[in-house]
Amino acid sequence: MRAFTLSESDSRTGSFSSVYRTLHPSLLRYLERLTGEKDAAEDVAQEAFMRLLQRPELTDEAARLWLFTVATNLVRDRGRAATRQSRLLKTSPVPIPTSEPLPDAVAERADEVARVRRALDLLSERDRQILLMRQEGFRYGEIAQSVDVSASSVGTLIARALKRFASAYRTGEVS
Amino acid sequence: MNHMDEGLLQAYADEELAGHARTTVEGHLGTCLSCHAELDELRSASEELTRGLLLLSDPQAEIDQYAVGWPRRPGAKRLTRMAALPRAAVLVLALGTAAAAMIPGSPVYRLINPAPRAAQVESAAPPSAAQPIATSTAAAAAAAPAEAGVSIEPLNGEVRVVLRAGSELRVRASIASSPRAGVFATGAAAQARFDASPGRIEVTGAESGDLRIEMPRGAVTTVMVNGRDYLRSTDGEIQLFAPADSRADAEVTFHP
Ligand SMILES: [Zn+2]
Repeated sequence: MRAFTLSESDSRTGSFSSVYRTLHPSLLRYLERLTGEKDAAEDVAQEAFMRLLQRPELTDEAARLWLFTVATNLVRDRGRAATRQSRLLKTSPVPIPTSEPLPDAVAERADEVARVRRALDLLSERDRQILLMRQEGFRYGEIAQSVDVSASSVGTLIARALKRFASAYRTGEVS
Repeated sequence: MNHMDEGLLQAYADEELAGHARTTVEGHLGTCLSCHAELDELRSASEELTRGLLLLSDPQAEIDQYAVGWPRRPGAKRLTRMAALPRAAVLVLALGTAAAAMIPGSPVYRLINPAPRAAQVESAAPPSAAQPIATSTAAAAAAAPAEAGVSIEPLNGEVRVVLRAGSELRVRASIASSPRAGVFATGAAAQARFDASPGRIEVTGAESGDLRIEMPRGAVTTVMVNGRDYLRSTDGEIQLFAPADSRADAEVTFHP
């Protein structure tokens, strides 16, 4: 696990560590859900925070939106298709002991996790982004800025994305 | 009658509407079963997503949640809340700027708009209470603040609500489907001071009136009253550490 090295001369240093503490858990959770990959999520989060260090003029509130937007773009740049492809080849996300019989609850859980992941993967990148940003507490105005649509259309985008998720989750297909 | 489009209903569900837009949607929901059903569907989908995402982030924790019977078929339990709405259409409460000013620029992403609580206020408030319930939009504009509150998102799946409160205060804590935790005050309690920081809401000086605490189903919420842990919700289950006036599955009421 890499650590941040913050130099004394850094103009943002003082508030940066508190911004980092406040935002990192949320950003990491967002990225893990977005990419489905812990390692990729951690890399992207680190990279996004490194870039934030170069934007000392941003207020904390603006930094939050900026950070998530930049991180989302980084994920896109890394080529999601490739990472998703490799992930789909992997087995269950829940570590399962092979020697013992599988408890029903655990097996069911693993199946559920896979279904959720698959439903998310069936959505478009934008649908995934807006649903996950909403989940992290971003307001419509912020989501609009991040995905570059008008604020008045965010409700509709979320409603449709939610329905697509629900359909994908229940049936395994996007309606 | 023109139905509400899904985007407007979604914005309503996400508490993104204020003022006229909000009362228009509420008024319509009070009379239209079809839009009710649409709103229910959106809320169900939202709950399903929240639950799914929790599962992704913590597959083990969720096993317990399953055991206590989180509704798998979404939509089945949502009608009670909606049933209260028709009357809300004519009740409008004004949110004062004074209440807003008390909230520092910490991660409070919004001040909750008072309108959706109208139906509950109506039943909870004694007729003589100094609670400005206006019966028309015009009257509401001149009314004093009747509801104040904050909502936050959980920090690492946890929320702490810290109350310093008088024994005249009525507190209702309930499990909510929203991913955010919130504390909302009506009546005299609306004058209390609200401070929010990540994962934490502090309410100081709520001596009387009504306080409502919304605890997100997906988070562990601990409510502390006057220095001691009062209750905790985990995975939609409420655990009490102190006496309550009443308790139901997903809701507890008490006086500090
Ligand atoms: Zn309608």
